[in-house]
Amino acid sequence: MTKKRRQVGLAGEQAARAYLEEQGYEIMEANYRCPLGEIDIVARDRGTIVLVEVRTRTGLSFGAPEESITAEKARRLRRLALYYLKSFQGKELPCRIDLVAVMLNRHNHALEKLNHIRGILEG
Amino acid sequence: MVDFKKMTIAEIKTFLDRKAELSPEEKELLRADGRRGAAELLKSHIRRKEAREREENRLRGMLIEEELLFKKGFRAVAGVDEAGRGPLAGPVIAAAVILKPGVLINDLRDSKQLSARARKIIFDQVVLNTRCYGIAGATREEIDDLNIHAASLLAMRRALGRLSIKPDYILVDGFPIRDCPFEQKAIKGGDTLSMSIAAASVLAKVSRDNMMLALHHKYPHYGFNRNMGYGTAEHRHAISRYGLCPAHRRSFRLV
Repeated sequence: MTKKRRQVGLAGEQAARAYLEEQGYEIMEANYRCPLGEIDIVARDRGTIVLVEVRTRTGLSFGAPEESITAEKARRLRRLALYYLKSFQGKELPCRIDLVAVMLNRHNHALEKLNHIRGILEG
Repeated sequence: MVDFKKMTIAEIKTFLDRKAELSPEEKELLRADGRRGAAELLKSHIRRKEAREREENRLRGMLIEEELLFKKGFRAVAGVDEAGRGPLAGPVIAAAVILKPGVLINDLRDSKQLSARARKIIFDQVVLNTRCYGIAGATREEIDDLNIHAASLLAMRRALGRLSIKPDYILVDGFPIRDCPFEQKAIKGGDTLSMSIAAASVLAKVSRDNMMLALHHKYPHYGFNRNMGYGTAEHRHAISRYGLCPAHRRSFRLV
């Protein structure tokens, strides 16, 4: 990963976090790492745990950010979610997976567009 | 296997009322029964089950903060809340609760959303499901000396002091507690978001209501048994007629 790409990702996560907090979500964990991978943001939306995948793009040449979730990525997210929820000693807590798609200005990384899709991957 | 065909609708109803959940075969049988009463019973059975699941989901959602703390290694998480910030008379009462881990107390919600009767039932359920709890107050005099906010915090610290198990983390509704020796987190709207805070809110509210009933017997002119000291029209009217009683907060603007 180039330094530039990482910076874009970080700026995107920052924008997503600020947006979620503004929406009344409480950020519980950021960049939660486990053997199965990483969850960008874990937040609480009132009585629901929300695992947030942040997708950041600068420019549309590779498609809109929300289009970059492949079937494989979806499977991985689902496994991650189950793994994360198991860490609560097996308690079944209400949970969903959201996608926050962030579009940044290619040059100064300013926020251009943010799209929040709740409950991708139902069930 | 039950044979619904041979049962009357009333018999089926008794059968369903005793049963938490029907097996898929039983549901299929009822669906195929043909009688309108049977179809309606099945429908209401499913509705009830869905309502139960929604309630359980709501309750589980109220454990997120607690479970997150357990995950981080905290063992004794206490919820704290107070009742009686707003009234013109009477003490402010606070409660602190350490729930048994993972318990779901049915119908538990923020005490303001419960009827007085429901609160009493849930009061008992909360007490039965705690590892320990503490209830304490700050007097009318303390409220006037300190101001209501500081007196509420004092009451909450006292309630925490009465816990027989020392908490290692506390969740508090609204504002953080100043000069509190425990790690804490204040949650805005915490009485609807955390089971422990909601439990504390019920204990505080019911206890305070009981104290106001006692005050009503001492000072019967103000309708404390109905208004619990809050500034209702009846209460204000009684003040203008009879003046203040010793339970009235002198620092509150009465008109």
